[in-house]
Amino acid sequence: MPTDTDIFESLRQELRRGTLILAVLAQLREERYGYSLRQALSSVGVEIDEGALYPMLRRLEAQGLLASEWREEDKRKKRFYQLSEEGRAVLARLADEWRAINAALEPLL
Amino acid sequence: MSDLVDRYLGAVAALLPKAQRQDIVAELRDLILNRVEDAEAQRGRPLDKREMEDLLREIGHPIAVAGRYGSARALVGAEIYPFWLFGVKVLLAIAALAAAIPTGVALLTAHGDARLVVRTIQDFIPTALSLIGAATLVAAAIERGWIKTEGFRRWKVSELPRASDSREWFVKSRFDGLFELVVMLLFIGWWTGVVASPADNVIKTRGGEAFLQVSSVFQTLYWPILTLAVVQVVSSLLLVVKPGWTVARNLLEIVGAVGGVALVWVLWSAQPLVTVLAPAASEAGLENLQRTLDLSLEITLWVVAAISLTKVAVHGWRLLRGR
Repeated sequence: MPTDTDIFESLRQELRRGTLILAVLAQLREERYGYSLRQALSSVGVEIDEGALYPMLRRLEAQGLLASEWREEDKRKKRFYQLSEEGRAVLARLADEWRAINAALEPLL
Repeated sequence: MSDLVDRYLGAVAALLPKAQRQDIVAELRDLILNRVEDAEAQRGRPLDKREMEDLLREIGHPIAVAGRYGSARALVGAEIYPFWLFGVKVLLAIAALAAAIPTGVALLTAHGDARLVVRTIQDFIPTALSLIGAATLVAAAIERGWIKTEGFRRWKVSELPRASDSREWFVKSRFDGLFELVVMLLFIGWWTGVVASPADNVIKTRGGEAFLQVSSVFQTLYWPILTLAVVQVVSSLLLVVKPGWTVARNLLEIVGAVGGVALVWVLWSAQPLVTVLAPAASEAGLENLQRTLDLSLEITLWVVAAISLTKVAVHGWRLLRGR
C-alpha cells in the first residue's frame, strides 16, 4: 500500500518531468556543457539528476532541438550544447504554453 | 583512483550501443572528473578509494546508467497495456476452460482422480506462462510499430456489446460466448478425433463390464453434426470478437437451432441411439439398463428440441427488432 509520501513523490515527479525539459532548453540559449548546465540549473533552484540530464540532452539533440560540439576547455575535452534554430522556436512555443497553463491554473490554486 | 573510473566506465560501455559508445563514455568521463574536482576542492585533498566508490555509486549502477541512454519506450506502453491485459485474461480463460472441461468430464464419468486434477494444474501453469509471454511479444511488437493496428483505431461504438439489460432473457455475455467457444472447439476436436475422449465406452457395473455400442446413424450424421458445431463456433466467436454484429449472430443462431431441431428429428426416428452390451449380465438387468438409457436419451432429445425451438423464437424476434 503506497503511503501519502509515496503518492506525493510520484505526483511531484510527474509534474516536474515536463518542466525540466523547459528549464534545460531555456538554459541552453547560451552554450554550456553538461556539468555546467546542471550547476546553472541548480543555482536557480532547479535540481536535476545527472542520470536523467545527460540522456535528455542526447534525446533533445536527436530531435533536432539542440546542437552540440566537442571542444577542449580546462585541458579536457567537453561536449558543449546549445539551442538550435528549431529548438529556439520550440522553446518559444513551449514557454507560451507554460504561461497559458500557469495563468489558467493560478486562479484555481 | 583512475582504475575505479575506468572500471566503472568500462562496465557502462559494455552495455551501450557500439555507435554511441565512445561519445557517451567520453561525456560521462568528463562528468565524473568534474564531480571529483568539486569534491576534492571541498575537502582540500584528493578523494580516497572509499569516497571515490561512493561518488561513482551516486552516479548510478552501470546497468541503470546505460539503460537511460537506450530507447525510453516501455516494453508495453500505457496505451497498449489495457489491450495486453484484456488479451492475457481472455487467453488464460480459454486455457483454463480447455484444461478444466476435459478434467471435469473425466471426473464426472469416474475416469479420473485427484492425480488428474494435480496433473491438469501442473500442465496449465507452463501453458499460462507461455501464453502471457506470447501476448507480451505481440504487444511489444505493436508498441514498436512492427505490427500495424490501424484497424483497431477505426473501431465503432455500434460494434461494442449492448448495455446489459437484466430484464432481457437469454442474453449471453462475452464470457458465456468464450465458454461456449471452448466447449464447441473441444467437441469438434473430439468429434474429428483430434482430441482424445476423456471417457471411453465401457461402464463398470456390479455384474462386470458393460459396453456401449453407438448407433451407425451418428456416422451418417458426421458431416451435419460437424457443420452445426462449426456454425456454433462462428457464432460464439462473433459474440467474443464482434459483439455488435448482432444480425450475423442471430442468423447463425437461427441456422444452428433449425439444424438442431432437424438433428433431433433424425435421431428420434433412428432410436435406439446407444445399445448396451453386457455379456455377463442377466437378461432382465440388461433390459432394465437399456430402458433407462433409452429414456435418458429421449429426455435429452426433448430438451435439445425445446432449447432449439426457443432459440429460433428468441433470435428470430431479435432479428426482427434489430437487437
